[in-house]
Amino acid sequence: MDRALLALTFVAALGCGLSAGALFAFSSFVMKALARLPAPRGIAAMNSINVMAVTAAFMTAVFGTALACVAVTVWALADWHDSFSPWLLAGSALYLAGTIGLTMGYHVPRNNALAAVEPTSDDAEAHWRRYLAAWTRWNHVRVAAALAAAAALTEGLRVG
Amino acid sequence: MGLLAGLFYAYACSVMPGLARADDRTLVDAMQQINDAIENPVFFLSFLGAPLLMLAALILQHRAGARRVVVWIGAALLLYGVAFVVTGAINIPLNDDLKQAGDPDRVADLARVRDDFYAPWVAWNVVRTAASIAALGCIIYALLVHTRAARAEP
Repeated sequence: MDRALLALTFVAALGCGLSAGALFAFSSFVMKALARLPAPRGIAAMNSINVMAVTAAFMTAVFGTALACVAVTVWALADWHDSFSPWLLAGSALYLAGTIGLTMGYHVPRNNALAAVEPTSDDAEAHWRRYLAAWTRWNHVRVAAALAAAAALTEGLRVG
Repeated sequence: MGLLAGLFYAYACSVMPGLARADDRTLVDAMQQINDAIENPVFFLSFLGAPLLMLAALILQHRAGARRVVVWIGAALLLYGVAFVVTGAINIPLNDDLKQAGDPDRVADLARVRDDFYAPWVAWNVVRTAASIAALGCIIYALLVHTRAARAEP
């Protein structure tokens, strides 16, 4: 494997592992903790998380990894005859479709809808319960996709 | 191959506690609940499972006489150890202090409780996150060294 591709794939694999870890926190304990708070406080805390997630460090980790995955995809397609290419393509696609795709297509719209809810209104509690259940279920999928992506990229490094 | 799978799984898990924590800092209001909810089997499986798998890989590689691989696994274990010690010596005592403060509605000086907790917790969380990421890098590198050594042998 070319040195530049090796470095790029290594960074992408680290980024996928890191993203899996960040999202794993929500699947394994954060959402459970928020569910135990009274609904208005839970909604406020979740909205605060969604606002604060847009920091330089977090965005670099999530979208920097996405950029690395795009580059790895292009490289893998260009060097399709190599043994590692299918692994690199599979890993990048898992992260881009499973993690980034779900985030933009599923989680972000629901976060925006939650931000528009008045925490003390009558239907806030029902909205919050629905949000918690569905958001967390699809978060498990994001975690699995990022973890599988890290595994596939590492396997690509190994066979390369 | 079983060994490779072990290495592989260890690395996948070793990063989890890493960033799993970095996000907590946005959650100071909910921190008491989180500290309670984090004590669940899924979390402990990855937090304690990762170093055990790395240790198993270390012993197997040591027996196989793969010195360079052992060095990199050792580095990963050491870095993970840093994250582990920081958690035990700093973050957990801070969590306990926060719990001692009691119901947030009844704390007289909530701002002080928050200040005592927040800054040191976040600073040391950066340390354990960085150590976990570096551990992940070392374990992936150990896998690469192992594969190349295996390939060099006819």
